Amino acid sequence: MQTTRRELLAGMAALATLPAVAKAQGPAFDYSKAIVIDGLGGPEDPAAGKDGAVALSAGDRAGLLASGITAFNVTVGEVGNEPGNWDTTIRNIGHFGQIIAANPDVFVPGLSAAAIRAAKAQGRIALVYGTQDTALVGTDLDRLATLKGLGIRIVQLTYNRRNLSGDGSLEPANAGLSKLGRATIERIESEKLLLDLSHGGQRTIAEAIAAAKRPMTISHTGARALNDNPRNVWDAEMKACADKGGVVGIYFMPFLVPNSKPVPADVVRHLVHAVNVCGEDHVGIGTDGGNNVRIVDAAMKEQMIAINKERQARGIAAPGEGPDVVTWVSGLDGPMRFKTLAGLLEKEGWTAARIEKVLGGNVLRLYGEVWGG
Amino acid sequence: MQATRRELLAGMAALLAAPAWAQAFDYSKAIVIDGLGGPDDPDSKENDPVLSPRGRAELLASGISAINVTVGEVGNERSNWDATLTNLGLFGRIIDANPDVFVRGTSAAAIRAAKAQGRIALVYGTQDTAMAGTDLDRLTTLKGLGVRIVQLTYNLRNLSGDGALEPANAGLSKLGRATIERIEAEKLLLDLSHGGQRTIAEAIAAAKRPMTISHTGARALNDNPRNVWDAEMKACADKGGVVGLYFMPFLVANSKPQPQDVVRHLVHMVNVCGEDHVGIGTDGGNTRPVIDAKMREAQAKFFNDRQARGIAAPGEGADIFNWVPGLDDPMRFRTLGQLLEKQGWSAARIEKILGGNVLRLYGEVWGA
Repeated sequence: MQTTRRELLAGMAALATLPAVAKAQGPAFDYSKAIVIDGLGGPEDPAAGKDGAVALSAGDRAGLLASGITAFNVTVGEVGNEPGNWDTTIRNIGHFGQIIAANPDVFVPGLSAAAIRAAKAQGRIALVYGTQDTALVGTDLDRLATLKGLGIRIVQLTYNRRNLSGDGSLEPANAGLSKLGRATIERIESEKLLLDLSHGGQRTIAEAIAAAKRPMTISHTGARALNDNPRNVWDAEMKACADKGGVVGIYFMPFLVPNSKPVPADVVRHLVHAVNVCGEDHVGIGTDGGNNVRIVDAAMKEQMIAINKERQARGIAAPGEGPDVVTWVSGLDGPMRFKTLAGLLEKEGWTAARIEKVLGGNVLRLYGEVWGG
Repeated sequence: MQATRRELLAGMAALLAAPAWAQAFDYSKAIVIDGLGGPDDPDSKENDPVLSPRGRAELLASGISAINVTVGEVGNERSNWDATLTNLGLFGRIIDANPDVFVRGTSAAAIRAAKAQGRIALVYGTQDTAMAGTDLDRLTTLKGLGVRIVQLTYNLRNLSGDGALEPANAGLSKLGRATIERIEAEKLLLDLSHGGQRTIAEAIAAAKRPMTISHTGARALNDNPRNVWDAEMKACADKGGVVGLYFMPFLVANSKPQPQDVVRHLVHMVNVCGEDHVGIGTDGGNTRPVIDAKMREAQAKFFNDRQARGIAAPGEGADIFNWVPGLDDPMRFRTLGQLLEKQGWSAARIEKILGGNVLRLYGEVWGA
């Protein structure tokens, strides 16, 4: 999914009741101590419905500060091969810069692992800038250096369709990496940017992992072994990513189950599978969602229909998306969703150490290793 | 002048001796700001944003707390927006690669924190609005990318107004007025350096917030189009702005200014504007330039390029160097402080001129 979906995000709904906590082995999990990172997601955009707004509403602000989230990878890059996407990306970066500057008690720029640790100590949220496509760069690889200097830290290679570097997950040819794709990965790595292979086709992901010399991420995906959807990733690629030191993030998206209506237990099921395949040091979360509780009312239904229509028209809607399919997991859709999830993982018998790793520790370790600070 | 000139800068010159009877002015306590300049590094390696040991040492020794660095490309060429983004990216990488030296100068608070930590805040500025043109939303984007200072025109005409070298002296266009409105709405600092006389006068009249003329000289002392007449200096001060003096050949008729000429211009400007409205924008780099064959060749090439583009002002030349000997090294602000003490200026006045006034202006205009 992409940032335009933030238009959907608003509302109120009852939080799922916290499950009774079963005691795991070792020390109890303390949510307030964990560094929680949404490896792909976003705070609510103050400009949603209000052109140019940058100050958070009181509700959004309170939700963010209460969430216990320390960092989001927010998507600043526009997706697709349209020639205007570089300019749009620059505008988005400017917009996020304005949001950070307008809410200094909530946000800091997420330029380094140290900045994320400092944000945790200060009760703030680091916004890490990422792209979900390299089409906006194309053959002009120097743009990757410029993006690095503008604060971008994560670069996703492809988005669902084919770009000049490789095939996305929805391309039937499953054509894998081009020569440019290999050069793009080289440049991403020499700039110490984090390579993200989410939304890639199976061959693109496999070949990119093989070509990469540094750890990478598949920041928001699911286990294809549990549901054969092209947005999910097979065990072989998950394992290859982990074997190179990378982190695979599980999303809270309809692609987790065949009926497109996942429940919190499905998120747990995918996480358990991912940990079985990758090991507990190589799994994280990238919700692909926003921070607020969701309510499906008439306005939301209308927006969902409009967004799905646009995504169908652009050919970027994956199987499982639909005009009546919500792109979140009911019960894991509010500011406290990471805490709720941790409660479920405790119930699953996970140790506090494993829960801390999966909620953000692994992603923070990866960021520090790849960015070098 | 523009940022490319930093390529020229390197060298050695004798420091002026400090007066034996130095008063209470304490350079180490002052917040020193170069209102237009650059952190040049003559020993830097190409494509390597990490400072050389010398560049690093000289910057840290300089006592400078903030530099307004030019990230915007000048001129009406269509590619200048992309070039500006490339420059912004480059400066971002330079800051990230030298975290013990540089911080982002996005607020007055950040500059004060830089002073406390012995670091240097780089404030991003443009020296033209041609790269925004009619697309004023680009000013919003630039703000979000960290730009804090926007100069309206650069020597030639752009769609907003005439620069200092345009014979028509046409003043502000309607777009120029809209551009100023947008600059002010975004709480960016309007810089009127390099403007034509009417552009400067009309922009000050149109402005609702304080502005700067960050790097200029007193035209009453040397009638060069890059300098500014007393009327415009006074008008800028009356609106709460700050006029910055440069260390440039335009200060004197023979293009070879001495440190005493810098002092003379500052004294004149304080007489015209008052001591709360004068600052420094050297338009130069931080290291000592050495005039050798390589430097002469570089200056000739630099000047010829500017001639060809029509942006060389009277007083520039193939053999004229864009600094003031004796005020051309990392300690130039301290040297100047000593000359101003000798002039009988109070410590308070020297502190204001070396950076206090510019910092006050930044805080007022940026709102933090």
